Amino acid sequence: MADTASQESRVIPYVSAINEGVREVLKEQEWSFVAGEDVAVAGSVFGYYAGLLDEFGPKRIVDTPISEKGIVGLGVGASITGCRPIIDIMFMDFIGECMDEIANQMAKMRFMFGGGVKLPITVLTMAGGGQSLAAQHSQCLEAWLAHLPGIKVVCPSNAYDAKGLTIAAARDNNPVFVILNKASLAMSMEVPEGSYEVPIGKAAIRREGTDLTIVAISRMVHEALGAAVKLKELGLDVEVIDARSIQPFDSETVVNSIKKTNRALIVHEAVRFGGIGAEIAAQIQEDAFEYLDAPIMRVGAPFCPVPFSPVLEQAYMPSADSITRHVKEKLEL
Amino acid sequence: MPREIYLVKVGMSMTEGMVAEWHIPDGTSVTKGELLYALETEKVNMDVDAEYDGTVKHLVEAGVMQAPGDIVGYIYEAGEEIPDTLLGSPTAGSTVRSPGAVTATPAQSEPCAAAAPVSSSSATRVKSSPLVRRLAAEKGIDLSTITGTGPGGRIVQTDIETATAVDKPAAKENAPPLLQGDTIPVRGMRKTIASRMYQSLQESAQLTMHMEALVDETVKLRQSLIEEWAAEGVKPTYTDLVIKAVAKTLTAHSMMNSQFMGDEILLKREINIGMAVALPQGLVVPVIRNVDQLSIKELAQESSRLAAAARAGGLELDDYAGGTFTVTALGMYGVDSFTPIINQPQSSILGVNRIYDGLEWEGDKPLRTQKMNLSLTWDHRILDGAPAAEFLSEVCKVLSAPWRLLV
Repeated sequence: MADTASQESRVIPYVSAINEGVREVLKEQEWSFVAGEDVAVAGSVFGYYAGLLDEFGPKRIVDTPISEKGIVGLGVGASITGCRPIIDIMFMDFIGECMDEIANQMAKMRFMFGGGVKLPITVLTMAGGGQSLAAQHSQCLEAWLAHLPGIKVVCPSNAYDAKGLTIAAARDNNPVFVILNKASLAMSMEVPEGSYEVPIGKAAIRREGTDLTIVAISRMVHEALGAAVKLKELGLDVEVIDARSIQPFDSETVVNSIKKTNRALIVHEAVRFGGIGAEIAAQIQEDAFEYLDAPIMRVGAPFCPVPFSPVLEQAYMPSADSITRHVKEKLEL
Repeated sequence: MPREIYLVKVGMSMTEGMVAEWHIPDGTSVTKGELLYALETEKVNMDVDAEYDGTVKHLVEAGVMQAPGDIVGYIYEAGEEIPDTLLGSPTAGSTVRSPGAVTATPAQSEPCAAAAPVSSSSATRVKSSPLVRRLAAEKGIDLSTITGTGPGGRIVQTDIETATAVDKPAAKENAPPLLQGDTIPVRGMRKTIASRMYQSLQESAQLTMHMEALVDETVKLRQSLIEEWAAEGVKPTYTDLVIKAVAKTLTAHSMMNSQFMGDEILLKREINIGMAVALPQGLVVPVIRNVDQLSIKELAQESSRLAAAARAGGLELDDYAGGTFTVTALGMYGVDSFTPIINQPQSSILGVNRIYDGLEWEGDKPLRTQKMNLSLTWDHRILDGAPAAEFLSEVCKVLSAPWRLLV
């Protein structure tokens, strides 16, 4: 499947970039289809399937009943018959409903059939807070999925990656979760027309620095970049890494950066306890222990449900300010 | 039981020191109150006297750097069995500490009270980052010789860099072999000066400007003051008059009398001016306090007291403390301009140069005048060139009309 991306690029928002990514997949892969709640007539409650029903028809853009178990089961079954389904789970919070299909079928089937089947299934799902959607519609549960051998997990932080990772996921012959972020939907940037891939398994250095590496996930990349500006004023030159591929994780890029900066901080919107940051911190100390000049720092949400109150929710979510405060305190700047 | 001789702790900030010289040779007798050894630390040199009568045995030789509270020798009472030699014995350099066994000559310098017992566990546990431990192993650095500046006193990378930059500037793998020559150990005062001057240049944005002052009137004023106070033996120096001019000008230029603290700039209330005094073993900077409130006479008396004390090695810790600005003079060597280095954490330092015959024009007529260059180094993080120039220009104006110092 050849890329067709032209030199032409326009500034479009994250939500439109997802739409373009799905459209490119539907155009190039005859056996691909989209299935999920409100994906067809409504074009998804977030709008990223808008226009696809008109363009590709009701056989390829399928509204399903409200049953995550059924939707994911459908996707797993379809994928082993040679289809390339794009399954939509409207809110990531609901993957508990279909966890057996994910953990015991989707993740394991290729292994248990001795490689005799492929599961080219892509799951698009929406995570993140900041919209006052309360405890059951705001979570970041990437760590649940990253713990399952057999599943790839990516978290695009911007429009370019949202399109490129969606296409890469759909072309992959293994299950891939593309975890989107609600608060990033309106963020715009230059995105090429046509198709292109952002490789799964590679992190991106968003800002180079010499004194501290911040490894950030999804929307926290932007908060980390904000913190980097504030910390620069205090004389700390921060490198920011976008850990857009959670599984497989690009340990090499992170470790090489820390060998240069000698200090590390990991930030994610998910609850800090048991979050993916703990795994990243462990890998850093395994592979770069003798390069560390300070304890590895972590910033994440406190150990409680996402609050409904907008004021409490803002206090709950990590921000450029809270990252800056944490670094100042821990490094005694 | 023989009595221990400790390396005395002078001041809370003392981290290391040594017996610079044993006044009582190994194996000879001493009487209580007699000078026992010369103590040298990064800040102070002083003599320590014996607390007991008896025979002195050295545990360490002169010149070995140790921690305050270390045992450096023993005094044996009459009748006790005296070993041949203690030098190099396993207890040498041990960090057993005990308060109050020794008194220091300058009794008010809070010596032994400060040598409070330190538990041996905290003395041996050196906090350092993994990176630092690797670098120390690679470079063969003993971490117990390095002071940590990281959180909780942890030794971090910058501490190793500072230590190696000062100690081994030329240690590169492919460096040509060292030429033959004598080596001088860098320790005590030299070590302190080396690391403070290097750090000052590394950690602030220093630059220097020079300005010419017309000092005919200052020369005349000084001469008449010397005559006026001849009977009392008070003899103001040019540096005294510059210090007074600086203090007067600082009252209206508080940014020059400040400290950069990252988030904020501290404008200091007191005007305490350090004066650099050159000694054979290095530079010391005693401080004249509240210069703005002193008359020229009081200032001259204080500066001559400090200079004499510095040369005699009798400066107290208080004499060094609290400086907010420094004046340093090289004019007596014929220097016309230089770039002094800021004495951190101050914001500025003023260099005083020689007085020379200069030329001014009155219309078409050349006039012979007396001139002196002033060299101002300041921290550009705190203020820019224009306000610094305004300050320097004002100091020059005061020196050209020094009667302003008298009111």
